[in-house]
Amino acid sequence: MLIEFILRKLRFLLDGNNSSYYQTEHKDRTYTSVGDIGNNLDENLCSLKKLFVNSSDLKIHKFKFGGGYEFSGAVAFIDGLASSSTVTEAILRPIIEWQPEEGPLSMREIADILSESVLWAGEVEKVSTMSKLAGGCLSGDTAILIDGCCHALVVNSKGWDKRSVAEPESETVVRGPREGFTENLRTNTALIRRKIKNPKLRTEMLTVGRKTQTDICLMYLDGVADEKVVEKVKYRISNLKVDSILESGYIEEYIEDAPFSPFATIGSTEKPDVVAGRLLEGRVAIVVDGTPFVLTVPMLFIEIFQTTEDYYTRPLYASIMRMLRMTAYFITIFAPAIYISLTAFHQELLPTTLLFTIANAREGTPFPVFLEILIMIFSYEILREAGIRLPRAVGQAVSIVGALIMGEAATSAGLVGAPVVITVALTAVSSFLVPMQNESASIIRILIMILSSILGLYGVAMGFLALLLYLGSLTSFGIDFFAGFAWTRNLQDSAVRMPLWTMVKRPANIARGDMTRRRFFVPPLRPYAAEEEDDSEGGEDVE
Amino acid sequence: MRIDKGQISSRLLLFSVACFLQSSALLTAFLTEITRQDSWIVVLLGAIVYLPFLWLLGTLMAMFPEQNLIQILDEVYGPVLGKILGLAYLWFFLTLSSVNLTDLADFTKGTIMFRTPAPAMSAVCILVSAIAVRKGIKLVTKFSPLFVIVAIVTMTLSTFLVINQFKLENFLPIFTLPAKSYFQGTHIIATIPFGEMVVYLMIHPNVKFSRREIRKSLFWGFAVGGLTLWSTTLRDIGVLGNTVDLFTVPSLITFRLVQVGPSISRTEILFAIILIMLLFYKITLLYYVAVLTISQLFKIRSYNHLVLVVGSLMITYGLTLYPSPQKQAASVQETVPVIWTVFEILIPTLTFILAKIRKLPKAKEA
Repeated sequence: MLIEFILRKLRFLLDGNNSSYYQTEHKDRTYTSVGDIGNNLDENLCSLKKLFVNSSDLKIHKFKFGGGYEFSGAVAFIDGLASSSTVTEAILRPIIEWQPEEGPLSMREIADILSESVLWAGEVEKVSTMSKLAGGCLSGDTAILIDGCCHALVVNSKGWDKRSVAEPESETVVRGPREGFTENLRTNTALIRRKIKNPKLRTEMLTVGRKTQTDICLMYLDGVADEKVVEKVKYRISNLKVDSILESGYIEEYIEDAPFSPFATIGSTEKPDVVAGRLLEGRVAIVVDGTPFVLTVPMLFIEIFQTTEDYYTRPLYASIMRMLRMTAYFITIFAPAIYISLTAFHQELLPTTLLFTIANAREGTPFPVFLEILIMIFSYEILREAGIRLPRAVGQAVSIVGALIMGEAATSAGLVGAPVVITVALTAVSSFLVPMQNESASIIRILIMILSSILGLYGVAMGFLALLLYLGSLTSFGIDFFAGFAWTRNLQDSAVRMPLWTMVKRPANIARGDMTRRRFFVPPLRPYAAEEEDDSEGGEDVE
Repeated sequence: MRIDKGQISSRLLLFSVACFLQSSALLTAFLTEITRQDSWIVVLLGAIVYLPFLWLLGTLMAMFPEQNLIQILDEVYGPVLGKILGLAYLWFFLTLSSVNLTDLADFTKGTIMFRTPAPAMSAVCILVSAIAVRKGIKLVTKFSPLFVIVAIVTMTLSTFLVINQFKLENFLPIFTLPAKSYFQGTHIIATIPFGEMVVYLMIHPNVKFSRREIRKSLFWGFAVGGLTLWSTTLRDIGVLGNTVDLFTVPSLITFRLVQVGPSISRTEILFAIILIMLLFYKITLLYYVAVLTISQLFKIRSYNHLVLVVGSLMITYGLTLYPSPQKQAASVQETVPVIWTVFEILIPTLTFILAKIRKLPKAKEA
């Protein structure tokens, strides 16, 4: 009864919050109440200035045009967002130089003529409300207001400073394209479209964030992507009643299936070829303006072991590397725990010489093995974080100090045994092979260490089973997160990467509709085999 | 009313059955103590004896594709007698899961964790199982293929590694034990590993299957699990010979004997970990069945808050079951097969006959 009462009160409070929330939303949109664009130029400019009060970057320039300069107008744009050369060369110059040929024109006709035959712009929109005009200005367009006309023209003149396409720092490759996404949404969508030149590649725009009005672009291949997933993504994003979206991480956190999971259930990448590959498998990409990280859903656990280079190198080597990565992931989670259980509980499992070595090293150390490893892992995490946050020049100093003090000095001073340093170093190095799940690994590692320090190898086994079951219970947009490991139909691309010509179908659990990647299961023929035989003849010809 | 809405494929059922049987396959001491070097014959006999009942199980599942055991009992015996039988089955499932939980804890204590109290081990196992049980049948059976494959690979590998110690003379003499031993052994094998498949009567409504498929998956699962059991017994006898009855876990000793040069030795820890994984699977399945039975009997729509309660009940019940492992071994050989026969063979057969006489599932369709 009491609980019910509390729940009811809570629900009431929540409702109350909601209603106040709607009020704030209303307040945010006050510029919608400025209303329509009127006939009088000065009044319009006045209301525009009122809307952008105290905004020094709004530039308004009045001018006169027409054969005898009988018309007056004004351009408005945000300095820095609009390219000034476009404003002068493509908008102001043609308008001012324009000589009307016919007789007297109504103001409405002037707007039409301007947009159709005078302006040198690819995208001109006729708007009639102040809010649309202001929205256009804020996204870098230029607004043209004409005296006596109740419409304004919004001309595309976006031209702000942006970083050029460069190699992403978070995902470097030896073989494969080096271009990476930038902070500009359009550049990013263009980079993806250049990979998939198909009209079925859909790019749907959404705007999220009451204050930030961030543009978000959903990209998917129509007929390949699962419509249910597309709908789910659209529903979840368009129902986001949030204030601000500054990075795709915001979106990720709001729309994922398992918000408290240590595992990311939404993929993110900086590379267009990765996104293109995932789109072709039937996934949906979410491109957010202002960040080079593009999200892809649904995500499978196996993706953390797949790199693009797997598909550009020889399949045999790629498969071995993939298995190496899996082993490394296993090591980075379980190595400290196994070390603890072997030295604290199951000494009989160690070969005698190794046992003596470890016992020798541990002889003078003051702490129990669990604490010893915990301290080392803790200091490793501190070093790693310091290396990331500090400026690059100082970062190197940190790593040198860390390596010397943590490794060499701690061992020779007898604070920690050398085998512990080796175990922790192996754990750390292994974690670099699977950078995408570094965060989850460092959390789970500690949990399994605690289990192993209480229950030895039994604890490790139980931890492993719990991890398996937990991973099995996760979903990403309704798709099993752990699929590809358990019993599924497309095992050509899981633990091993089979040759590309064996991947006849797209992944059955992600794609819908157009499933065929290749018509037949045909090993590559040797199309030049016959010519090779003729090679001698060709040689003779040259002679 | 179906409490768990998850659906599994019939192939998963196959692996689930195989894994369920394999997990008992590795603990064959209760048999080898009685029939020694002839145990492999007894395993074959037990499987043959159980085959008709396997068919019966499949038929019951095909007859009542939408109802689990408790609902079948309700329909066949009427609400009162059905409920009483349901309660009896609840006791059976709870005991079964507690016994297996105790087995796991005792085994772990005896092989790798000598000084840790057994309840600590059961508690951790229950906590981990609860993750799966709360999510339902899909997660419970999800990793059975993995376990089956791991078990088969380990068994094959270990067989190759001990092949140098394998002696055919170890199987001799054949058929020298008293006839009573063979009968008792066959009974044990038919009821303890194989007969426990009756728990699948609680799960079959969640399997996507056609009538023919269910018998096929049951049979193939039975075949894979049974073959593992048989080959394990064969291997252990071949290596250990007449001494097989001295050990509580003969397979562990076989693994201990593996010695390929100085490099590969002390592999019994591998066996221990795999046995823990398999037993864990069996416990999770039984735990799930016990929770499902309770919620079905008492008509609880969602069993999530029951899971940990039943789990703690299983731990404490397991503590009170037997005073010592020796008593447990004796009971497994003498008392348990008799009681289990009632639940695994008599009641299903009776239910089948009654249902046929009363033409039950058909009457409902019309």
